[in-house]
Amino acid sequence: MFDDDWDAIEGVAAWTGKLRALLKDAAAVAAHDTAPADRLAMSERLTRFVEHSFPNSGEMRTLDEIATRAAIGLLEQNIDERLKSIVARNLELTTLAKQLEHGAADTGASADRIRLARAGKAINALNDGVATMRALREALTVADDGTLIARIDRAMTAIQQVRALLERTRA
Amino acid sequence: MTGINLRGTPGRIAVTLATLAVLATAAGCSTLPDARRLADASAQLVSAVAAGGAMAAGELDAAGLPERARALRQAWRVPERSIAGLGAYAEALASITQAGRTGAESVRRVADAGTALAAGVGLVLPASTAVATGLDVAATVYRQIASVRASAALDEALERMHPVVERAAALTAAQLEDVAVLLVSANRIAEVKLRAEYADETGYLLALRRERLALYAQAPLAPANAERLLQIDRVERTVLARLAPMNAGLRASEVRLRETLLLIARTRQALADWVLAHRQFLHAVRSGGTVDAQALVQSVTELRELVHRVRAR
Repeated sequence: MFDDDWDAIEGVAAWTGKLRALLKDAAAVAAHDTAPADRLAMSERLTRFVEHSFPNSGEMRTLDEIATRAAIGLLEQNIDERLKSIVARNLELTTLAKQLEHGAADTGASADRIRLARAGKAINALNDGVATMRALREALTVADDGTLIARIDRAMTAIQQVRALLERTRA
Repeated sequence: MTGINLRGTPGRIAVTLATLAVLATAAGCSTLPDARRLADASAQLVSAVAAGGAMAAGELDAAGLPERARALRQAWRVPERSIAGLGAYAEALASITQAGRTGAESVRRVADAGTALAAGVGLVLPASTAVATGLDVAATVYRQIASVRASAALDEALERMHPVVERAAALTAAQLEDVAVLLVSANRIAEVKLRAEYADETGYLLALRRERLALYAQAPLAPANAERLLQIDRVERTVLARLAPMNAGLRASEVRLRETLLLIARTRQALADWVLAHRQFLHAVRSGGTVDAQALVQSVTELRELVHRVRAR
């Protein structure tokens, strides 16, 4: 940490000179490749200037405002650089997120195959269909619609064949 | 794969089961490592990454930088999505190991549904005892087959996804590092503003202390100086009382910052542990070994507490 000798400064002219020196240092750490910690340290020096400068006459308040703005400016620079870096990195991360999502879907599909999920679902769906058709067939009489009854019977036979196929292919 | 023919004659059932038995023998009796810990840990990571971003955005708001807070919230959706993707992938891994362990149940579920269907369409099945016996053997055999299929599926998924997992974790860790800098800077802006607000009091206090030191330096102490020292003491107490709200604010802000930074550091550690556990998992699937997820479990337990604490603030 830089050791500023605040007690040695007296009068507006001396404080103005000190602020000028601090701003020169601040300009150096505002450079693009400066480590964030250096900007934090510089902003701390500027804040100490604001606290130590005394008495707080109108001129001194103006100096304090300049120092405060410079301290905040350095910190905002840290924030803006990091936000920019996060956004830049997000481009690749978005692609990776999609790959992870696809990987999850593929892996989930493998689990379903092992669990014979498709066969189970298909047979369950067929079961539902059979129940519905049986109910419909029982509700009809030959006089109502003989053709429809014949078709329902054919559909049930078809389901039976599909089921047999499912058992052979399983998952 | 060979199915279980419930309609078959006893002879056909025997052939089918014999085929299954051969397959099972060839496959061996492998034990799958459990991916549940990876899935549980990733769920915790999702909430830790979200909390880190939310805390930093909150700090930007507190520093009077709402535009930047909005920008961060917007940008942070990507790391959150990436970690959520990691979580979904881990859940899928866990579902494979689960499917591999419950292979017999799968066969029973499908067979039960098939039996119900056969009855529904008026199909005559072999005697129920024969079906049940066949089913028991088939289920036992399928348990082994499911285990092998799960092992193969895991091997393929783990190997294919490991580079993606590794890169996504590294990038997310880098995003967290950026968020830490952003958090500290935003916290410091709020501090600079608060200290500037109280600069008159602080400046006066510093001037009093300088004067006191100057008086101490004069020896012997004149009665007027002794009186001035007492006066300084009284004024100092008054100024300190006026500075109390600032000091309380600074202390609270420092504690919040420390805990959030700790959360970010631990999240990065947990990400590294997760990647390591993923690699160990791949090795365990291939070698039949186990996964020592102790480090991951410990990281995640700590994370859970930190997320809870940080969110409570």
